[in-house]
Amino acid sequence: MKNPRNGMLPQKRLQDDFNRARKSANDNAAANDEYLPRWDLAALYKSPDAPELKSDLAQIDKLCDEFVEAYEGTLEWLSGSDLGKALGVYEQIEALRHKVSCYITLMESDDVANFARLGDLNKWFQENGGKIGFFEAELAMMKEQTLMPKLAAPELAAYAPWLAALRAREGQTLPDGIGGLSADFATTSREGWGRFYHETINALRVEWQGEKLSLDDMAEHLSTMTLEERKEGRAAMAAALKAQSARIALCYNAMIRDDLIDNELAGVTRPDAPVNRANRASDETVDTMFDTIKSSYARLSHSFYEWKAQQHGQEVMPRAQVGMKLPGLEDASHEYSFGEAKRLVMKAFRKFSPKFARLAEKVFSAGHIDAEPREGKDTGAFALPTGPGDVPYVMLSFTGSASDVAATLGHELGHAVHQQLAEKACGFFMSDVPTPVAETASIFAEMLVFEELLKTEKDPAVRKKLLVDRLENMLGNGLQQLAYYDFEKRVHDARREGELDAEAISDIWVETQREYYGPSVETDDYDRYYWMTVPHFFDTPFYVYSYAFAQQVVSGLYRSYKTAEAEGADARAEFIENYIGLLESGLTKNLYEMFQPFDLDPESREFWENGLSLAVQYLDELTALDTAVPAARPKGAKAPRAGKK
Amino acid sequence: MQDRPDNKPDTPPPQDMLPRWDLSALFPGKDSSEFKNALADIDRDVEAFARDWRGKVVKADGTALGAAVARFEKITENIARIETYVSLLRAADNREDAFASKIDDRLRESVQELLFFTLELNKIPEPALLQKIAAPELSAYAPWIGALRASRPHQLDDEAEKYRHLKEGAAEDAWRRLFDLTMQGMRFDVDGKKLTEAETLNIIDNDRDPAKRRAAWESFTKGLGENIGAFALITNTLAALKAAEDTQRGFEKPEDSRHLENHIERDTVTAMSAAVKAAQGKTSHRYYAWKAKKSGVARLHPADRNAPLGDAPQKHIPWDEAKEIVLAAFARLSPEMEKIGRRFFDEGWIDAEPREGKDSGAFSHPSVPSAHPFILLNYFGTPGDVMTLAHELGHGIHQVLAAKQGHLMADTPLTVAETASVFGEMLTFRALLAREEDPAARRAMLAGKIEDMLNTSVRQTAFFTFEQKLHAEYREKGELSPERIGALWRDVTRDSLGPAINMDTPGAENLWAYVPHFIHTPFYVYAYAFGDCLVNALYDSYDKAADKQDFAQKYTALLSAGGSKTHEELLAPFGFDIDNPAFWRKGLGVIEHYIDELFALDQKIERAQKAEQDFKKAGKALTSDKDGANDNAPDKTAEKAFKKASRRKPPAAGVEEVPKPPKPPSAGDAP
Repeated sequence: MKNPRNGMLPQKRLQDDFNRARKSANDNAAANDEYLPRWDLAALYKSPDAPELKSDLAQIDKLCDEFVEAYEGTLEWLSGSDLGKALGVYEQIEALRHKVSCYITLMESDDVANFARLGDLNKWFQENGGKIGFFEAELAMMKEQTLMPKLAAPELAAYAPWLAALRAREGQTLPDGIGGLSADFATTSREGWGRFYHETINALRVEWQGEKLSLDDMAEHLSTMTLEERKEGRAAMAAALKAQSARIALCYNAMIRDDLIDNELAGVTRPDAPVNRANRASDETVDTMFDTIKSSYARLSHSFYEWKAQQHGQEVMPRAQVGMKLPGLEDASHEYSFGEAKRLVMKAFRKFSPKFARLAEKVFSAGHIDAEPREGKDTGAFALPTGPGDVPYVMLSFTGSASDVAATLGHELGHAVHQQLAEKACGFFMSDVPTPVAETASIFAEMLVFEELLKTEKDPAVRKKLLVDRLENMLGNGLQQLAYYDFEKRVHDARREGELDAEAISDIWVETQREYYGPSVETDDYDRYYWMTVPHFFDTPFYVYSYAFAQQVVSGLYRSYKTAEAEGADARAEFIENYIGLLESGLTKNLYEMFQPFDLDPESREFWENGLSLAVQYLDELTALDTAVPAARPKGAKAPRAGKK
Repeated sequence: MQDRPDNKPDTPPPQDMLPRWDLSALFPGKDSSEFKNALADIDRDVEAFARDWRGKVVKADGTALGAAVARFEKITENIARIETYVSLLRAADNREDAFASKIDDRLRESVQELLFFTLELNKIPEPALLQKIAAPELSAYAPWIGALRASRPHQLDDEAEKYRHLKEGAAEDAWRRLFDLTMQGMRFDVDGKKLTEAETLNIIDNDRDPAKRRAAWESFTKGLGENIGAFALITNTLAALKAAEDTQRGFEKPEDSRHLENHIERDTVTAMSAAVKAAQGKTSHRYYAWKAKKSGVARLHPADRNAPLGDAPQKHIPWDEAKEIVLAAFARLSPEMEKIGRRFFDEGWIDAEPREGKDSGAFSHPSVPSAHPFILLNYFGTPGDVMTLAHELGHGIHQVLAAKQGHLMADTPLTVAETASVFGEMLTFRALLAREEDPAARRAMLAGKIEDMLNTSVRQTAFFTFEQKLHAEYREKGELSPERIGALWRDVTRDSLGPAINMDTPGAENLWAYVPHFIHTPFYVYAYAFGDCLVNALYDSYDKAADKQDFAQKYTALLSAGGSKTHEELLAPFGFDIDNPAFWRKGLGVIEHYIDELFALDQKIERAQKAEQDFKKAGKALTSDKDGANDNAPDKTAEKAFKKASRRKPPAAGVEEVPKPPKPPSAGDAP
């Protein structure tokens, strides 16, 4: 699929100039492996008051006004070819708007203090979006028999996959007269709740030994503590969360109820239905996934934690111990400098496909990566494509663990590669894939990096630890996120019957976590309030299942890759070709078509069992390896790198 | 429900047994079968009513429609009974919040199902309505229908109204609850103790130790500052929601919807507000300049603005004594009122005990006509608390009298809603003043009274101005940063209080954040100034009335009318015209007279002190071995001489003692 957009956008050139400047700065810094890159958002705009931004806004406003003047209320009567042209203009406007929106997102992630500076820009963005909102609304509501004949025009047919996604996403239409009200509530109240949630959690401080620490910093501290200290630390975190629990519960209730009202009015009966539709997965596929994965808890997560408890010499271990190093592996830590991490990731990518490595390298050379942990910065990690032809921005807080290397840096760079491939093949508009597929490249990349880590690591204890961590990560994504989804389903269902206070929500949370961990883990108060720290529940309800979805999909794909690799160079090449084809397909293929080249069918239970079997295989390897690892490190073995950031 | 901008409980632990209310007139308990049945009945009744009446209102004849309104009244009263019950549970103990919200959500659905009825009533064309209303069954409800029809031009279509109503639960209502939760959850460090909002405000307003007041004020403003982002977000979000709703409903100015609800013309409020501002020089500016001078500073720290004057000791007034003072004050006006008032104490209608988790404010909840009102306050035994009790009891008596009008028409128009409460306070103030023999204490009481009056009229008018500016700026320029809101606040406050209050004190810019009215009832604040000035004039009439019994009769009739008459009709017997600017000037003149009275008393005290010093100087020459170590102690002889000179009548003579007309207290704000 060719990109229907012509010409290069003006800001792209500026961007390239900046990239060159940035690259030389990076080269100097590269001498220092400890260097943690921070992005420079001034490359997008110098400040929220910058004249460049003002003039972009003015240009967008002008384009929007012209667009409204030309098209509002007329779409039904346009010829297919004219409608296609209108879409071309719309795509251009959206690309410009997207840059502004990315700027807001990036600035807000960069520093919580920026929220206040962006109020006006946010308001502009909402109002401006309101102006052209008619376009998607009219397209979404257009009768099928009106739309079909127009699609004979090639200008419009090129956008068919985008239209399909739009109509699936916006399928629930509210009655006339209500839509406007709903939009008012969405832009005022609903978005305000999101802001309140983030500002509150970002500002949260844990009192610990006379210091006030953010949740992230505290979590970082925990990793170096003894069990008793961890228990105390987690109690302090629980206290900090509990102090805010009433307000966060109120916020969560309000958000769910807000959605519930619109869903009911639109005749949507399951709260996750809009997400499933947007994911282009049938409700049945999601249910099959849910049932299959949930029935694997006993043989996967329960077995794993039972094994882990045994390693600690316990039948039942306290929750605080779950994240602790295993006996014999206390010193089996390998801290990576950021430079080292980058080299490892790039090596893994290069081995798989040089194309992957090239695209990942662009993120660094463009200076679009922010890896430095700091106060006020948003927690979590993401990769964000900012517009046509631009290199995605990647945010993470790198602290040097193996999981930061694979599960975070590798993961986000996988996203960035995927985004660039899809954008190049389908254009900016149609590169925006539904969430479960969006995770394909990222998790696959994690697996590649993991394998590389395992391969380069010589210390058997560290290797064992890598395998434990890997498994924990796979279970965390593939199973625990499903438990998160289970939590959301239950909370949303219960909210239908009335408001839930913080303790009622926590009860549901504890129950779903207990189901996941099984009888070998005893929960604690920090775990009880942990749901408050999961932004997905507030920002994008039901998004979490796509991690489990993607984990199992990719596990299955990875098994196919390994099989192909074992079969020989041709089979491997064919797999990689199919795989890149999948990533490039963007919106143009549906979920079921995507997996046809690999002979995989997401509608079947076997599809999910296949994915789960990779974790089973790792678990077997781990328990086998366990007996092989000597209790103490042999004398003269390479000492693990001392911990530092 | 009547609530007021700020209230001021106290820190010292109560020494007497303070009553808690008994909610059994509503329900025996939240788990009782009565409560559960009432909820179930509502579902059933609402469903039946909707089945019988949806789509049929416009065509029904007057008699049938009258019966329908009666049925509607019964159902809505049953809903209100449950609402009252859970809201009182929540006010008495905030741990009931989740339970109450659950019930609120459920009732919201019922109310939403009933919305069609009032919407359809508003669809009846006027000529048809006039014909129907000839039927006595319907004409009994004419005042209620009249009020309802005022909102006709701003009504959305049925589906949109229903939708709005539902969405508000997740929007406006939830943001307001967030504000409450935030305030309730805050604790302020004062002298090593973590105090609640109410306890902290009480120190700022009432504590005699300037250092402690200052510390409390600083801790309070700092605490607000730490949460200022959340407060600004709540404020901005509610401003955005209001702007959106006003656009949908076609209200021009942000305050217009409030005027409609209050049945007041915008011009009347503008006249009042302008009159208050025009008089500031003679009221607030003049008074605070005097207070600053008294305190020996050029500009008062905001923490000292409401500080008790001088060193007159504040006596603790036990609850039982407060009760008798207040009831005696009402008895002087009307024995019937005293009788009603006594029931509040004897039958468990009051919750006066301060405790953790209880609402920090004071209110009298009208409840439903088939039960009785409930009063909540936090009694610590200061004279201010006695006045609060009088204020709320005034509301409560008013609510009992108006209950005869039935659920739909018991609510008094805002214009006269504060009548009984402010009246009660004025009577009580005079009684308290009369009990006091010490001139310095009397001066302090008078000053306190003037401050209350300024806090009610000048201050609340400034609050109103602040809201106007805030909403206007939001609509024009978008979100306001916390700093910008603070700057607006500082400017408006400086303008209203005058140069003698130091608004440059760091932290003063945060004080907009805790005023619940900006959140819960936008633009309601002007009602305090409005009601206060109006009742001033009314009390003036009472004071000057030759025939007090005749006045009491008219007055009782006014209260008993509830919402069955317009304010024009209600006030006609007293000869008032509230559209006349001269009327407002007259009300404000009362404050000026109080200030005159205070200044006169002050001069007398100073003269007496000077005489005393002169006397001492002369005396010292004779008895130099005596008072040397104790120069500051007031000389009893001089004090007695002064008292004799300054008192016209013995204190037992009571209310009439002071010639000038009185004035209501309270409704202040704190820092």
